[in-house]
Amino acid sequence: MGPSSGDIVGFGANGDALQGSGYGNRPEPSGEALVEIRNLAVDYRISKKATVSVVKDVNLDLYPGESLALVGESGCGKTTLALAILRLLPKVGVIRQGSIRFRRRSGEMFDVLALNTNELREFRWAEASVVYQGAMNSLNPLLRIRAQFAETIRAHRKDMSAQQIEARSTELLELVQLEPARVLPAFPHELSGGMRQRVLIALGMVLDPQLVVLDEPTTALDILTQRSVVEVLRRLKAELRFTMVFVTHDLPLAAELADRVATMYGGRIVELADVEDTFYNPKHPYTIGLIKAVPPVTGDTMMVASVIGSPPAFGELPSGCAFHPRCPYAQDRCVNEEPPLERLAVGHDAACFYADEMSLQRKPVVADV
Amino acid sequence: MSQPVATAAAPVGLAPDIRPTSNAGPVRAFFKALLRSKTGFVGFWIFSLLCLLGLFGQYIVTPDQNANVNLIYHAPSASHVLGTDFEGKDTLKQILAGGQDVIIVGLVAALVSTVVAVAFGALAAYLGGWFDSLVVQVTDFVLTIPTFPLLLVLSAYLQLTSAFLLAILLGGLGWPSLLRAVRAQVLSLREREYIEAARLVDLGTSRIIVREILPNMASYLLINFITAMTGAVYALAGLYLLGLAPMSGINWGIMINQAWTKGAIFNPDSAFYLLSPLIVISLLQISSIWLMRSLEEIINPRLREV
Amino acid sequence: MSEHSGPVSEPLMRLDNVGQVFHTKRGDVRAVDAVSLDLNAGRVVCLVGESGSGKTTTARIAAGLNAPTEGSVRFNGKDVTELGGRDRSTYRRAVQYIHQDPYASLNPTRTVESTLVAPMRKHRMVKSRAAARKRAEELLIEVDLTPPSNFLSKYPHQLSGGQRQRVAVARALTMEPRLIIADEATSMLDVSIRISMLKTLGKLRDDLDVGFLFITHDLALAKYFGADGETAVMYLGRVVERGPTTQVINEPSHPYTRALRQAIPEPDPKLTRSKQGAGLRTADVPSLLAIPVGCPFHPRCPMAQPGLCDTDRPDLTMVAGKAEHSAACVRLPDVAAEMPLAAQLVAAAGDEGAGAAGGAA
Repeated sequence: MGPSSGDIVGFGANGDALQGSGYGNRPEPSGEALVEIRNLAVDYRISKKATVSVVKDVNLDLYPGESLALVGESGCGKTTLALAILRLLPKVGVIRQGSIRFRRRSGEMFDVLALNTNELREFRWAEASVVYQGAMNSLNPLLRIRAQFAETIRAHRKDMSAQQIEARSTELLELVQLEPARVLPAFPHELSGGMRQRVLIALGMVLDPQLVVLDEPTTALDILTQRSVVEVLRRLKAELRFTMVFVTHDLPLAAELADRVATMYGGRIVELADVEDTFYNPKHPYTIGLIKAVPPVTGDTMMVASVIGSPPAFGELPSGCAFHPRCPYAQDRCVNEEPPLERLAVGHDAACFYADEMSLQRKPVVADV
Repeated sequence: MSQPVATAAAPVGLAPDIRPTSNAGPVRAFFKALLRSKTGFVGFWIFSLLCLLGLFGQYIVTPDQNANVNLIYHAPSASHVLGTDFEGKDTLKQILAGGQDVIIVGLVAALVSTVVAVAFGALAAYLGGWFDSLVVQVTDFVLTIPTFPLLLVLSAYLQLTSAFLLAILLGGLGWPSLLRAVRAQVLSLREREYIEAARLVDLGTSRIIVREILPNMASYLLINFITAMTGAVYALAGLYLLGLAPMSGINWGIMINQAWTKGAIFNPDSAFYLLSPLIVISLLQISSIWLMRSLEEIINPRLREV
Repeated sequence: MSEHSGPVSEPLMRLDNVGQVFHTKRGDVRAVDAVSLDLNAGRVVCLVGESGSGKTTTARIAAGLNAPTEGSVRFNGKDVTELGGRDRSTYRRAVQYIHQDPYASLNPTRTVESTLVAPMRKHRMVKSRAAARKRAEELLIEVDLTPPSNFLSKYPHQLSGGQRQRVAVARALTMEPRLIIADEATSMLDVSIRISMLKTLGKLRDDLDVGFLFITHDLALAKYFGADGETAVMYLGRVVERGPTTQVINEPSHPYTRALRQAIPEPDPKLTRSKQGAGLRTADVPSLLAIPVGCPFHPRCPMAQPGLCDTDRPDLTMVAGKAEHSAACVRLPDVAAEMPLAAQLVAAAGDEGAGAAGGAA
């Protein structure tokens, strides 16, 4: 069940209150999934004998053309999950169990975890790519941008000629609102953080992948620069229609860009819902707590409150529901049993025994149209 | 980088700093980390054993006092596991009892070098300004002096009879490179935020250097100390070989000298007499190097093999 | 500049036209230019800006960690460079600083108790070990680390980021400061605990009458923490707008502040997706080595007029009708019309839910 009838989830253009239908304006995800993740569990090896669980019990489908936000704080496993899809885990990462099935454009599905090195190289960048943070040195400081494009393309496609590479690079830089004439001959250190981030986005798109994973795309960028990167991502998604998965601890960014939001805590997905349901009708106490902990700029900030305690470190998860020590609604059952991620309504899953009783009352803010 | 970034593995920063939080203080955690790797473990024990042997061996084992003409340069046998020397005295006993001078000189020389290097290096780095320039100038000057020839000249001139004085001499010549290393390390630590915080609460220069900076360089200081010790032992072996160190009594260094001067190198049977002190000194050096490897892994956890 | 109500008095600390120029190989960098701030006990001044705005350098000047190359810092009316021994000591203790990174600001080889007790011992503030421990416990309670005995013997690596930051605050409190300068004190903390840290700092402000200079790039946090105080917005080393926090953030007057408001994403999909970009003329961020002539914001400003905005530096001028609110723009009266904010706030009838975003114009 979604929001109860009568709950206001927004205001329409003429000022009438819109009552909860649960899904805002977006149609229910339908059709075939692009990626099917089943029972995924990822561990990190911390010594020769011991491992620690970083991600577990993940069942997730990604649909073509949608944008999914993986939201959570430090230690929740969101980055690990996102990078696992492309098998880009660090050396200490090991996929303990589960499957990640990916559907090619031809319709055929294959298991990403079963690919060998060559197949993996073909998979990466042509089917799925990753965009890291631009602030971190993800660009080779010794190569001009033109050369980085050439190297990236050649690593995955041997058949493109120099002119084709140049044309493709130019096309992509324009898509991300950069001037190719200025950016292609430059070295990374000559570009600002925002420009580097956009170059990385362009690099990620260069082979027209179906899936792009972005790791904290706007963290460490200034506010005004963030806005331009968000606008670029929005445009790209509208024009190129790829599936976007982005990892962020910044809730407002999810509100900006996501169609669906998966909230993660203690290595698991604890809530998965449409973006409007997530923000107007969250059902997991952690999501509710997160939203209440982020003060808005517009509106009354006085009702904010932190979640008590702090997120658990890897390997130090509490028993039962990982959130129970911090949950204002925890009961005995929560200490002993781990709640499974359950369907509450179409398109809205939550991992809480008492999800039905949760609600976030918030007064909406009218958008001036 | 020849591999394009696009296909590279995830950035190292992704792996969280998974050091299991223990309730132990830094000292216990230090020993646990030290003994974690095989080389560190072996190195630590051999080094400790040799030091103990060197320091206390002579109180437990007494080398043969009387010459025995019949046993000159005998090969190893049941009663003389390492053979005998040029006077028929047992080699093994001499090894077991003869470490004190070498170990003590090594330790004391290292101590002198380290104390000088730390005191002046840390102060110079922290205070900066004219004091730092002065210390750097003096250090550079001493560094340009060829140490070993100077050592030879001084040893010959001073005719040292005391191992202790020799240690001080070695220490007095071994500090410059240590000082530069300590200074570089303190210069970088000085910019750390907790040092700035200590200045904000006005803790004062001496407290900051002694309680804030140096404890955070403990492994580094230990490495420097061991380096100084290995350096001193090398120099010492050279001096003994040339007969310029105090030649009374019996110790590993004197054994090397006598092996040379008394013809052990020409006689295949006496190989053990020559090799024994060489091997034991080499063991000392190698075990300290293994120990240092372990210390380096502590300082830089990324060197660890998982 | 807001002052204490009551008799007009010298502010506790005054930054008077302070400037900082760094001489680098590539040229002179004017990181801070003609910044004036008044700081008082029990009052909050928020300093808001993006990277390169000069807010951190200003904070360090206020904390006495850097000496300004221009202007002066006055403490209790006296220039700090002229303070003699005892006064200097008083100044050093009265003004404390919290670093941004809780993982770097505590000595890894000291326990919490040792970190707190060291300054007490140095300044002979306690007579015995037991007294020192007791005071350390009191301080831990002040920063909401309870029960304190759980924390005294811990090393920093055994604490979470939020806990470490609180220990850093407790250490600052050992000096019984009148002012605390918090430089992005919550940026490296998890989102869900930032507010509780600010609530702790707010408690210090209310109970102990500690004044704050709160540096942040997050307008929402400035709005929360500085609600009853003043906010100054910095851009390329200068203060471009200042005034009571609610006015500056809810109804900004300077085009840059308005652009920031427009650019910040909100935790509310309908609201945030209705925000269009601020219409900046270029995405390029000028470097501090080449600060634009005239108004530093003019190359990006949607309202810039050639001949007007690229010639002279605008000074802070009073915003119409608001005595304490000023902005450095020559086209102030036109800003509201040409740069509308996306949202009109709903005036809501007051009941409090469990919720967050409410509306009040």
